[in-house]
Amino acid sequence: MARAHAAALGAAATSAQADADAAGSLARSAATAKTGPSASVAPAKSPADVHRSQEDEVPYLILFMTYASYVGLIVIGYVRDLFGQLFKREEYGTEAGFAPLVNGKEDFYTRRMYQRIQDCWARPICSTPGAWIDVVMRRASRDRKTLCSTNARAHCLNLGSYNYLGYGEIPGGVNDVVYDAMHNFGIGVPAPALGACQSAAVTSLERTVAEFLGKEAAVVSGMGFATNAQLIPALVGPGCVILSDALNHSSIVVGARLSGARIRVFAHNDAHSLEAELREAIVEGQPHSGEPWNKILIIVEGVYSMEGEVCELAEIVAVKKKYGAYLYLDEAHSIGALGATGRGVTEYAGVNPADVDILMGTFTKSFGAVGGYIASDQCVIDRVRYTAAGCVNTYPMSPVCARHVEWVFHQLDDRDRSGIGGAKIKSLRDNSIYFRQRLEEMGLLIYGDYDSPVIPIMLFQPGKIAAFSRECLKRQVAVVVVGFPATPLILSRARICISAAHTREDLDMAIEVFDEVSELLQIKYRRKLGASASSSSSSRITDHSKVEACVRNERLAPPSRAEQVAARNDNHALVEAAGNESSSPAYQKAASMALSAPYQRRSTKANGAMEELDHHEIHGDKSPDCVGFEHRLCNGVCRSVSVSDTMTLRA
Amino acid sequence: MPLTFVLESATVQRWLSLGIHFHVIEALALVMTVYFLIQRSYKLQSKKRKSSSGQQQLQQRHTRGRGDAQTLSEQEKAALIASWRPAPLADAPRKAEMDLLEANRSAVLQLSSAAMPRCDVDNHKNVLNLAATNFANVLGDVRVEDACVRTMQQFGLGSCGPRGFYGTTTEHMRCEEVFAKWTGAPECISYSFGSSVPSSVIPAFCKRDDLVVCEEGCNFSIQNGVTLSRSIVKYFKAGDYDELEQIIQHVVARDKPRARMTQRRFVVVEAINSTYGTIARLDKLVEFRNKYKFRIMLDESYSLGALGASGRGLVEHFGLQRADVDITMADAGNALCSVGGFCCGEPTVVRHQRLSGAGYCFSAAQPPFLATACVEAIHILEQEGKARTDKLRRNVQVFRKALCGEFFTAGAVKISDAWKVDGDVLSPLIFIRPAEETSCENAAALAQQQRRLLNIRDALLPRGVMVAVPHQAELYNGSLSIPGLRIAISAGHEAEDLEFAAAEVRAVLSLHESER
Repeated sequence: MARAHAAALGAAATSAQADADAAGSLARSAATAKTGPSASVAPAKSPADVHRSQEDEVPYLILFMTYASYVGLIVIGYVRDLFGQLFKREEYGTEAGFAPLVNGKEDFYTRRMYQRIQDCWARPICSTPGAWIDVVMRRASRDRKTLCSTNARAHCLNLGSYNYLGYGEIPGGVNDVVYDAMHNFGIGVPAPALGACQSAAVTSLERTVAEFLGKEAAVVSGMGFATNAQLIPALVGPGCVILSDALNHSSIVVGARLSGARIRVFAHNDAHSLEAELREAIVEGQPHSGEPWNKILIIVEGVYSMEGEVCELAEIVAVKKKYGAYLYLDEAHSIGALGATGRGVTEYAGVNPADVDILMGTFTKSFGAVGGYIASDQCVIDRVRYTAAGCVNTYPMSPVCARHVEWVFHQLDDRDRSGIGGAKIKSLRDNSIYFRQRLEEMGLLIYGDYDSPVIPIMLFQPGKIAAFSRECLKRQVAVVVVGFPATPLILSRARICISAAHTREDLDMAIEVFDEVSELLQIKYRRKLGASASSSSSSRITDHSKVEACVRNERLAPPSRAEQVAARNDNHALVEAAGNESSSPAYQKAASMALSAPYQRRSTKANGAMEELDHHEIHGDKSPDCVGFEHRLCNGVCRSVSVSDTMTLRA
Repeated sequence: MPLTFVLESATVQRWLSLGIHFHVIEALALVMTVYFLIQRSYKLQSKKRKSSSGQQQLQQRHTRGRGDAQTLSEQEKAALIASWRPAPLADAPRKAEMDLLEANRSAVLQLSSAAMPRCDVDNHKNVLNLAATNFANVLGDVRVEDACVRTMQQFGLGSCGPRGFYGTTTEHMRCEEVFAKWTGAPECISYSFGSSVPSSVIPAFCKRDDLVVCEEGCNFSIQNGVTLSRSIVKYFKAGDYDELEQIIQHVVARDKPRARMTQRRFVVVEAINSTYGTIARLDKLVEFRNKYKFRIMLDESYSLGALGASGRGLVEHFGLQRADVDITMADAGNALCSVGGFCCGEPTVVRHQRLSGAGYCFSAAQPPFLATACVEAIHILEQEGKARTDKLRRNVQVFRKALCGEFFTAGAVKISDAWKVDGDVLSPLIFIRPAEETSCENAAALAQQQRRLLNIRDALLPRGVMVAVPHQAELYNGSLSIPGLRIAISAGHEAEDLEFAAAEVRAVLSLHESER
């Protein structure tokens, strides 16, 4: 179902490109939404198109206001630069004979935009990065260029740290394992692993990682960023292709560039675009010679940290298997956070870990330490361990962190029989679903998937970035706001990270604050989009979430893993799961609903769009197909409706 | 007849009665209209086809591969796709790495204690550790460990986020402040991993069309940074400052007089070269800097805590000011025995990195306790830096004397027919290499040598000495540098141990002399 949605989105994006000039174009009819194997050669899109498709959802007025804000900021910035260059020569000039260290144009964004609202970032804390943090208050220095810490502290609810499982807390995080490791193995090992020695603590962690993930072997690096940046070049090189998701993290981009392989970008989380790019890469062959490529490596992330979206792993694995490419899955944000036992997106999507050639992840997020790993077959890990610059030339991770991470793995695996790990995973999932649900009810425009612990709230306008962050801080909620370098210019957002350590009261308090602040800032965009849109969710809804909603209404326990997987994969399987596990009536209801949904194929025209929508309102409840709908409404006019067709997809 | 009726109508009559010139113009207009219509319809169609099939569009963009990709039929394409077989994932991606895997296989020793001057490795207990770069013997100091425990009790273990997103703790800020003060720089930025510092700093400042002049044999992180920067890169031989001057003179000669300079120029050197152990001539570099107007990026990873009267690094060693160096980078993994890295310089240098340093901006922050470890190590060096560096210098002398005999004062010394010792007399990093040069391009031969050196290392272990065989740094042209044994001296070693170790190393080397 989600695939249908993605395809519809993709199709909408393409058609948006085709008639970009025709602003009056109202509907992109379902006829353009080609899905299924018949359309396996889907149009390939550049990253710009992907952003465009998201921007497309932004109502014109907001879009206009956002651009206007930036234009205003840029004009003011240029005027200030002009006066600065005239009157403050010593500050703007450089040493005679030298080119300026930072070109005025490159630096413009930092000086004239970021610096104005820099108090929203890099707020120092003086506590653990747990559910509640003590934020050090700062004030601007005299020249207003830097911020100085004051003695004031604000005790705030932490919705910013990647403390997914709550291992950043003091009780439950640091324990004797850590202190012992420090005394036995030292804080650091100032010698490269290869050609010298590797701490036994790190070796033992590598074994634990491999066992946990069901892979033959693993190798550990001292930094998550460096894991991607320094180890990818050991896998692919010139004569290879890297197919990279449009929204992949910077570390993957760096690693891909260092490898010397040919990089092709496919539309974000779109298996069709991936397939098209893959086919084309094979057909084209190496430049000049036309020889076939040595290896093709697909690189995707498990959870996209800025989008809160879960990777469409099952479909990507299908494409990968069909053509014999290799798959590299970056689970930085999903390991520990997704799946019933925290084994990441493979478990969540019901994909066999053996189908993913390389599993990569970091220890910063769920594990509350630092470092990263790569797990794969023994021969691949040997290749990485003995030849990758990042393994043989750098200093390994601190044995203290290694021991801590290993201990966390043992808890997740329930080797200590305490049940703490499992409880944390469950609590994280419950919290994520609950919070997302509440935010949506509030009318905020949010992105991402239901189970993801990352929830982006769209803000759009640069002024609101700072205002949202400051107003929340005033009300004792610490949030992360994200602007241009990390997101497209127009799509500024606040990014909420849910933790297992949050209690229901914490979340309710945050909801209250958000409600107040979003009224103040008028960012309840979804409510503004019109009443008819209110039934649809701005989050990507899957069958799964439908089931979730059903469960919540009936006030029943969340679904078991089998049900989850079933819900994601197939409605028929869902019925089986419901039957076999003799589960709650809510599931059986949901399952029967899923099956009873009629096969619907609608080709909608512009004029009929509203009626179609209304029609769907009435019957939509019964039809899981309605979740493939993606409608954008602006000023009461329906701009586009793409209907997807699930039956074709399943074929 | 309807036709006659039409012809006789007043309108048509009036039209027919118009002058011939009118009809000519009208006919022309009609032809033009038809022509434009055809043009437009053709273009519309092609545009539609383009956008509906992104594949064709893309093909047009990169029709560099199989030139006939466009003309292939669907069946041919399908056949191509079906016949494509990937190489195994574990295959070497680059030629130079082909034989390395086998050479390096099982080269990792298991360290079952802390990496102290004496440690337990594999089954060998209490081995003299000449592999760790614990120059100032800070590792395992009780003051450092106690401070770390206090930090962990207050801040937890990890930082759970990037520096920008609540990953900054007061410990990080204190660490940056202390480091800046210690090195004498106005401001400092800390990274969570040492080897990501140069590869983030260099691309943050060097852009396309800028110039970077690099020393050969610099560490892989600098090479990565240079690759990422897409600048124009030139290399000079390690320690050959005449060549450096020639390169710069050559560049400067082409400058237009009086024109405003737009090309940023950098010279990137390591204070102690990580492949050859040579100490950079900072006095010469600063002289060149002022003469030829380029900036200096100095990697002080191996010199902090090792060079200078009180261990403040190369700048102190030459009696210069920190301001003479534009950008200083350092790995906290060596003398400070923590994990992390630093970059310090003017406020503009540091502040620019807070958004542009990829390894800073997009990576999780260093765990706070590792920042504390840096702070405490610096405190120790501030108090006892002089005593510790004096001891280190004495140790280096003792070892070199024992290893090289009477030649110990010179730079590169041949200690036997087959082996030579590289590196500066004062450098705590000492490299032992085959005296006979092997071509850098011959990857197979180099891999074989690497294996041989690893055998020597393994032979030294039962004798109670551990040395390192560092992975070879890739040189600029994709070839590898000549492998060698690396010996790192610490202030924690005792003179008699070092004399013993030097004797053992000589003995094992002479055993392996004939094995060629």
